[in-house]
Amino acid sequence: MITLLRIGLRYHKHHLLQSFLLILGIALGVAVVIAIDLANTSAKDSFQTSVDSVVGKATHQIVGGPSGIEDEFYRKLRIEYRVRKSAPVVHGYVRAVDWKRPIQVLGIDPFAEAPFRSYVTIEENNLSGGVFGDFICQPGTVLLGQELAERENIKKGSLLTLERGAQLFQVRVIGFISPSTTTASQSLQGMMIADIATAQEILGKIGKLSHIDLYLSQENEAEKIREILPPGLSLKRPQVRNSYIAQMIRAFEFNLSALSLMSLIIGMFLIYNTITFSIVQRRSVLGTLRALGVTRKQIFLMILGETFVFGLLGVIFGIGLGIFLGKIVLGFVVQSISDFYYTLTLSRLNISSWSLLKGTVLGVLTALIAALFPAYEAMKTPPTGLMIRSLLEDKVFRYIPRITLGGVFFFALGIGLLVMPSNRIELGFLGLFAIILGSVLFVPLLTVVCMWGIERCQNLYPSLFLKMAARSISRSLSRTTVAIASLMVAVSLIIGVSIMIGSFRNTVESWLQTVLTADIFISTPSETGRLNSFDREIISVVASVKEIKEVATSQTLQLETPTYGMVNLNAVDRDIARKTRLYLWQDGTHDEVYQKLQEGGVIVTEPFAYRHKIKALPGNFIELPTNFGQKRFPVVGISYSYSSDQGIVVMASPVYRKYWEDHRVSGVAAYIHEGENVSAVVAKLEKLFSGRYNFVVQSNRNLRLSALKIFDRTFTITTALRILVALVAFIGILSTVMALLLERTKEFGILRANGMTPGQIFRLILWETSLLGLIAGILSIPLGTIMAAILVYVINIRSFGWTIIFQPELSYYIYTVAIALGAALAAGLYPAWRLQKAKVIQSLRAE
Amino acid sequence: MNDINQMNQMNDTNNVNNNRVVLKNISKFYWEGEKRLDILKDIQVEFPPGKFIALIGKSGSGKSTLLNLISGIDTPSEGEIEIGSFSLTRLTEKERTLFRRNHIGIIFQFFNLIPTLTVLENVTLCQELGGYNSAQDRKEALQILEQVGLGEKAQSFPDRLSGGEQQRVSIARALAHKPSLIIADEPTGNLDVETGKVVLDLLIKLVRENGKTLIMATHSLEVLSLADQAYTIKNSQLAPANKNFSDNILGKDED
Repeated sequence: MITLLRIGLRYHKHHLLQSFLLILGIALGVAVVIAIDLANTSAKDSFQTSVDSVVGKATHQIVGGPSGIEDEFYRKLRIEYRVRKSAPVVHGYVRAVDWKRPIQVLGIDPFAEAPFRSYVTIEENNLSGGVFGDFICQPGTVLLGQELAERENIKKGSLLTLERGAQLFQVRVIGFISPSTTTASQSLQGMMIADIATAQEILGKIGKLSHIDLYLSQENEAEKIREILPPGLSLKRPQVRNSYIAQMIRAFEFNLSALSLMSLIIGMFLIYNTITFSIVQRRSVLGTLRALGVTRKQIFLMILGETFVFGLLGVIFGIGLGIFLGKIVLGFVVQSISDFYYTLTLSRLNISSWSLLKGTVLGVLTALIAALFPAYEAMKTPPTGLMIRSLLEDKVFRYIPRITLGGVFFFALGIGLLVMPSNRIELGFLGLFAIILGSVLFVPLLTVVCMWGIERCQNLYPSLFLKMAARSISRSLSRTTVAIASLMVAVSLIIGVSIMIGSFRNTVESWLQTVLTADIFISTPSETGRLNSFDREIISVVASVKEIKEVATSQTLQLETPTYGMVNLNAVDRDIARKTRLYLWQDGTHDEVYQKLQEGGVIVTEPFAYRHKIKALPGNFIELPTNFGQKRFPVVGISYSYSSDQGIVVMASPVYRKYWEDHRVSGVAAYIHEGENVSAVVAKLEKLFSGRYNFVVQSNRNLRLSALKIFDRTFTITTALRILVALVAFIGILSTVMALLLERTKEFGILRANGMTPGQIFRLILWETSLLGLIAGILSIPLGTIMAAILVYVINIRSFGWTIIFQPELSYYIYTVAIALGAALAAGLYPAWRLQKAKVIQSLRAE
Repeated sequence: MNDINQMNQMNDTNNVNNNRVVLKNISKFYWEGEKRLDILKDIQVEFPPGKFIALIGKSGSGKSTLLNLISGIDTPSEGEIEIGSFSLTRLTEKERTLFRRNHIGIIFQFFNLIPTLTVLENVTLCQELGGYNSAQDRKEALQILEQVGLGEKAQSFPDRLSGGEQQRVSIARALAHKPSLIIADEPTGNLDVETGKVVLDLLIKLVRENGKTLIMATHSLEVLSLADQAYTIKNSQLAPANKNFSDNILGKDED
């Protein structure tokens, strides 16, 4: 068997370029999968690390509403109820101005910390008595992790400027800690530690705690604590809290992974084609081997053995490339998660061996599956070696009806899976893949029909080259259709994703116009898509500007709920989109809905309704935990909104303030008097805030542009993935075209001998490759549109619950058909150049 | 414009017809490391127009190489080849191609038909490539196909034909564009004796009828008796061969 494998591999040694392209194809496919997996895993690890560092060993947590827990309750818990294993925690995010990124602030009581987070205790870090004293007694002092300090070149005594909301703070670094555990070390890369009072000041939570950690050894202790909790506070297990957040990004991650798998699938076509070529080219050798006594099984294993070696080589390169790409992708993943879900302060790529193993197994398996059919064909080589290529092609021709029937089956299966009543994204993707497979199986028939059509057109436009090109494609169906199919799938993906993103962007743009009705918007700077809260006093400052007619405020925050997980709550003192808001369903007219909002009703957005199965009917309500316990809020409307895939609950500010006793706001919208210049008012407000507050003042237009910038940023990975998938397809078509043409070197030699000039050879080859590209481009139009529809109506709905207005544009089709044509033409350039340069005599001698 | 001038010049049959093929000090050699391998050495010969020239010699003697040089498919290492008033060796690659397209018909041992073209399209290939495949050309091509007995298979593809039929198409292709010189490299080498004889008779008949020059490499002794002149290649040198006494021609004395 080793000898056979050696024979096989030596063949590839003599076809280095083809072998290189095969390895590159596998490597790129594997790299994309590994890069996405590593980025997803690292983002999750980053989240888990920050959670672990805050949660520590706590078994339970007492949590409050948006305004937190009163200090006083902790004192009562510890002294009156004698819950000794408890620790107060204040945590939140601020922006480190010098580092231009968010950082987590963890406020703790060092005396109570020991059972929870040993790494922040004094003993663990050998902090001197002086440092410890300063930490407790000196306001505005913080501790940093040793590694972070070294990386940012922070010395003991350095001052750091932090920004929260519109306010700036300065803190002094008084010491460094280097925990013994890796998790703690990692978490300190994105965190600073302060005592409770300092953290409360920095985070604007004076007199409040974020939560209280508890270490309870028995469940009955938990029951006792529940009994003493005042309304508005609840006892939770940290794992449950974390699962809310992990759940939020599941669809986001799944979509990325599914898209990354596409590169492997397209890689399969490339592997199939290269192996088929190598077998056709070696038919006489295989025949000789069979004549010499090599069994069919041995031939089969020989081909799979070769493929295994290539798969492994591809995986080795793929891992290296995947890690490199993973570092780039991670930046985008972290940014998107921070924009839409929760703040991530760490963005270090954790090279998980599980991800690498998954990539390796997937890469090798994909290669082996792709080689199964060619290996089976090779196995059937008769000992005479007379596996004439035309026989193989005849067989493909005969199989066309069966292949097409297979296509019908998979297409129908795909439709069945898609229309099946279910919310599962996995079923959606399975349906999509079945439809892609079905379409691929239609390619042989459609190619034959297209070529037949071109031949018929000969009467209108007689061209020897076109005729020869069309016939060459029909004559090598077993290979040309695979090349066309792989290019078609890649180009369809580009069309599908472009239509989806374009439709989505247009929908969001129109929606922004309906909801952003004010002239000027004021908020705090944020590295992420979320806003920080600030005090209400700012409203009067804004309202005092004479050009401003009226102001509206909103408070946006995340609320932990037992029923719906994390809920984005938006409390508005007046609905700025009152007249223009678009509803999926509304309980009455716009005015009636507004009135009901004032009376305690809520409007939920479409994704929220979809996720929590809120029907478009009157009589629905949602239950939210308030400072006065669980309260019911009637749903008075379901509106379209694209700002969060988790959905938003909109309520009137007075209602919010009543139940949550939170008087802060996170955004101010201002309307100016008619005839006033928006830019001038923006400049005036900026001047007014200068030196006092650090607010971002944006005109309506600029805010819309910022929103679209975040939108575009979110789809950067999708765009990059699209390009990578196209690159794998390009390598596929390059490899196929090269093999197809180089295999016909002798034929080109004969043509040259009969008077075809080098220029004519070049033209003939480019005719052939353009036809390949053109067919792939044309066939990708229907498939791309179907893919877009599936992405918009099934995958998007199941993942995010948004209604996107399907808007295919002619430009997407023209652009992508041009890409297919360009890719095929580019793939033909090198073989065309090589064959036109080849000496006639050498070409004639080629076999 | 250059192309058109070139084409016109290459199309000018007067420059070629009734002119002889002259080989002046032709050598073809390869380097194998430091060692020079001579395939053909200092060949000086003149083939008169309208004659049937047979080249005979054992396998690997250089017959095919010489034919490739005369047809312009390959270029000599040294020396000059003249066909009519054209010096083939002074032409560029493209000019040689155009020359071949207009003035030379080639018949290969392995037929070498283009599989993506029908029989008729194969026969009119040179005209098609030159862009002058008129209805008259097609009519004449069909007549030639009739002459080789394949008129009914004009629309068939080569893979549907037998070896003998394919070689007859190849002969028709070599004659259809009315070249003055036909080069045939063992045209019966891949056919059985009976079919080979039919094909050979047909080729010689057509060549004689149309007044073409035919240079043919062959192993067949029978062909020798039909040729106007015979040459043999021995030790890389070309020498006249005795048409009636072929023992030495086939190189038995060299073994």
